[in-house]
Amino acid sequence: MMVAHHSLEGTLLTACFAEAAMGVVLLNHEREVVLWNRWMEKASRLTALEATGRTLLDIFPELAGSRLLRAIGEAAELGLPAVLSHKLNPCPMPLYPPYPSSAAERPRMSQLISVSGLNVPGLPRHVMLQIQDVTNTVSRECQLRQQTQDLEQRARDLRLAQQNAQQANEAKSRFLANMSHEIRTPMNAILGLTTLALHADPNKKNRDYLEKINSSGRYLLNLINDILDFSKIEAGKLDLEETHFDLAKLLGRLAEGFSFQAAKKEIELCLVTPASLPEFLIGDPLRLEQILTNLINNALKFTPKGEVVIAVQPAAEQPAEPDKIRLLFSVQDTGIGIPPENLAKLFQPFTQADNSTTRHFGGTGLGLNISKRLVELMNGEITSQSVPNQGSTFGFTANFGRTEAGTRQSRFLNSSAVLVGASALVVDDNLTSCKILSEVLGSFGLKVAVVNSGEEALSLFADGHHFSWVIMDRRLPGMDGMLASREIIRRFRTPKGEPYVILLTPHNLRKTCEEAQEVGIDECLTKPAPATTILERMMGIIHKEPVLPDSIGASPSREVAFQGRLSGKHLLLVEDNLINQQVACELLENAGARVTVSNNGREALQQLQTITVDAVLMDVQMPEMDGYEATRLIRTLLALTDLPIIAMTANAIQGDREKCLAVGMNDYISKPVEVATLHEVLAKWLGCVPPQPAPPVRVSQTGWPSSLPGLDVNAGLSRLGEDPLFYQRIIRQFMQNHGEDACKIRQMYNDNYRLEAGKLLHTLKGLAGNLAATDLYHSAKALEIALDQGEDARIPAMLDGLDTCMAITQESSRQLLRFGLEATPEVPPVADGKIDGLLMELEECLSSFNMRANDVYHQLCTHNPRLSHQHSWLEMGEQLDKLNYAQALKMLPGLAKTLNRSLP
Amino acid sequence: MTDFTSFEQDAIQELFNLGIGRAADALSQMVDDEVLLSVPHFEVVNRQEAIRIIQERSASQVAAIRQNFHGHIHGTAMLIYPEANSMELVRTLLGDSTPLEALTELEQESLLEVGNVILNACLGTFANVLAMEFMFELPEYMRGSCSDLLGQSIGMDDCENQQVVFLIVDFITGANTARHNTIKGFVILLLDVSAISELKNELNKMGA
Repeated sequence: MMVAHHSLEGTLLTACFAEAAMGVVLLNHEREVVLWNRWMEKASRLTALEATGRTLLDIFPELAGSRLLRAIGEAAELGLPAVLSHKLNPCPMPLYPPYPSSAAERPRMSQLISVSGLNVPGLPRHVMLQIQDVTNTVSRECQLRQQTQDLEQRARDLRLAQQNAQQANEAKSRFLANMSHEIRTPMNAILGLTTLALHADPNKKNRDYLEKINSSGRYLLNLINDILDFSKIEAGKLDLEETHFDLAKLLGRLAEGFSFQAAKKEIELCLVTPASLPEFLIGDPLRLEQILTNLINNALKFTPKGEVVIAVQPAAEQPAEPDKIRLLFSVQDTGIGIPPENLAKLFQPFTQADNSTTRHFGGTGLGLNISKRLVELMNGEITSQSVPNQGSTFGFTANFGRTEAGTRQSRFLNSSAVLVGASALVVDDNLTSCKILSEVLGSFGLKVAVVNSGEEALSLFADGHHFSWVIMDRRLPGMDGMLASREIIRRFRTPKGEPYVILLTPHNLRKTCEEAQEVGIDECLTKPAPATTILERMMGIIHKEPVLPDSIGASPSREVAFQGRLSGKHLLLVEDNLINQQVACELLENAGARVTVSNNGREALQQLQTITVDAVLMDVQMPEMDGYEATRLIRTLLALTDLPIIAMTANAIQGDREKCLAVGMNDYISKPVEVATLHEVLAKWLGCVPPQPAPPVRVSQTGWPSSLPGLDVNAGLSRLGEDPLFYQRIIRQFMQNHGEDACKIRQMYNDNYRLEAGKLLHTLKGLAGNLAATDLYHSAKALEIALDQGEDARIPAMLDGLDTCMAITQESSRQLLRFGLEATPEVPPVADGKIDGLLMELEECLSSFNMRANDVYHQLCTHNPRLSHQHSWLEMGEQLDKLNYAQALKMLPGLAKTLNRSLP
Repeated sequence: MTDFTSFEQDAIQELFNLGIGRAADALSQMVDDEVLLSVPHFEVVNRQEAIRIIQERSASQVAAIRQNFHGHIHGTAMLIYPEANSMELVRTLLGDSTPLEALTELEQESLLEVGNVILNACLGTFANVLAMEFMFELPEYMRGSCSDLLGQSIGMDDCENQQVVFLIVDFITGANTARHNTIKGFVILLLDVSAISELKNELNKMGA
């Protein structure tokens, strides 16, 4: 019974094992198989009958020495269990998964085996093996691993590609910086030498060539700057300046700059600037100008006819900070327009609306992208709207700081009260321009009437209408503005001077202005003019404040002012490029400076040990020793801590300036060097505006007329630092040395020495400009141009004119010299004896070809700073520099004469 | 009184050194590379102390291989690794440098096998000394916080003050090669009171 029960239970258990879903093998203490379940039969292809009673080693001889047999031994002897993992024992037994293909092709089953000892009381210890098929798990894991490896490989590849791209990008930036330097160096030479050549009075044909080289060079420089700007913005290295600037002036200058281009295409350029705008803003004027220039340029470029309107107004939404203002700028054109699908692409770099436009219109395609980024730096937004064939509007907002200074409106509010209620007639054929002008004038309180032609204007006057002001466009259909003005003035001007006539010219041709003056037009303005400028000039007319015509504008007088500005100064130029040496030397020597040249930093250090200079101009990149190192050593080794050192570098990447200043340089000029900048920076550090000691005699100017025929005394005085004594002296010298120039010029012309005549005219023009001998200046200038352009028919009459002007100027000069001061003896700044001594020493040195002559000459210069920039002195200096002592000796008596000395 | 005398402690350490030596041989054979196991620290402490030491020297998350045994006496043997190290151990032993985020199923089995080999070596020595029949359960893989793993070991009286045999085991693989690596693990033997007195008896018999 017991046995039966036992055997029944045993049969049931055997059946359980037989059907188990894993391999089960039971070994007795002899390690013989006593149970081999159905799973094992399938996997091993051995029936239980075949396996039972045999040891595992007998069934699978390859198990000899295997971990499985050792584990079975441990379990049998000590009862210790074991687990055999797949990784360490991949396929312990030759078993195969139940795939439907033939056994030969099947891989072995991956197995996981547990071995445990079975302790049953009264029986020797048995060992049970449990075998799991993990083939699927293994292959899944393999796949997973492979995928992971692939992903990792891909990540590595991407990282590598990214690194490569970054390196390439850095290399590109470095390349750009280097290229900019490399390009700027020859550009410096090209622009510098053409400037010098233009100063050397080339003939007409060559002047034309040179000017074209110069303007092409500047265009090229702009392109390079664009590319540089772009890469700077890309690298996040562009910072905006924070300076005060005059918005109306900026816009006026901008409009004036474009007026010629616009006029050439017969495009009406309009400027809408409400007088309510702040006068001064804080921001980056150069960058603002850059954005506007770009937009206006595009507008003009893509507009074949019609108008371009530039407008500024406070933006609808203002920033929260009370010291900030947000302005909305817009540039609207009537051009070809841009299809909507291309509009968005416009602000991407290297893109133009239509790739084919590249060929039609040129350009890098960087401008708008740069503008967009700049606007964003100004916390603004750039927008564009366009209708093909009707035109485009580009607008942008930008934030600026406000300043304490009030608006122009408030400043002019009181003074412009005189205009309120006065009548004005606007004569312009362009409707937009009319509208803007009448709005501007209306905002000043004027009553405005508008007509579209000169004929209409005249008939209005003829009908008995009266206007205090006429604002006349020069370019009108039918009767042009100049003629209409002439007629209005001739026929309808009252003795009081009304109507005042302001002529708007598309661009400020000097010829037009001169003609306008002859006609009696009160003011000539470049069109478009900002509202504030119009108001200013109107006030000027009412208060009889003549604004110097542009013909004595900034550039010539500034040039004159540079002459001799650096005389007596000794400069060290450290520059390795020979052409650049020449350019800088000539620019500096033209200003009267003495220049010593070093080819690199090392040479400069050596030279500075033996000579004393007033300032150093230092190139940054040089062989042997660069500018940074040289500066550092000058400051430390030579202990020249106060010596002004000015960097001249073609490196245009931001940060150079900081780097220069950090090593101890005082200032920085970027190449290509602009003459004006060079002089300004030098003047700043050398303090060499002509020295102005307190005038020995403080003259009350009550006795002086503000002007004499041909002589604008006030302008002259202001140009010479309000020093009447100085003014008189210069006038006297002018009369002594140049009184006969008009005759000489006529003689030269008659003898066909045209070149010489031109040179002398040029000198005369410069001197006349300095003296504010306005008529003489104009006359000389006109003649110079006529001579240059070979307009021989006009020349005889102009020579007569020059004679007349000269006579008038001389007469006025004599009058001026009679005023009070003539009696005051001129006190030489040093003791007479010393001057005499120096003069004698100079004569001696020159006679004996002693090189001390240069030093003596410079001592004389230092003692007579006001004389030293005179022609005869400069010439002497030049001859001395060339060691041309024989010539210098001949000139010595002339020099002595300027000192009121005569040589024995 | 279940404290071990210093003689008994020395004797236990000697036994474990033997066992660990055998485990090293077995592992070397398995991975076909020299594996050195050393025991830099051996101590008989209570359970709380054991938890403290492991927490001090390892991460809060650990992986463990546990083998329970019963019969005349009850006990648990555990091999504990900081979880990150356990993976490292398997990879090092398998010579596998593929970094995977977590132990895969198959790798867990490998860790189980390695732990099983080490624990068997220790337990085999132990069983030999006590000369009595044990029932050993199959090894289990566990993970969790150290106190959880040690706390949930088989229900025994007086858990708090239960004495445990505690070893730190250094695995040194690829001793003279670039794959050289040392991985710290902890071997713990938790015994019930009767097991300890039985052990003391047998140890003292050996000494006598």
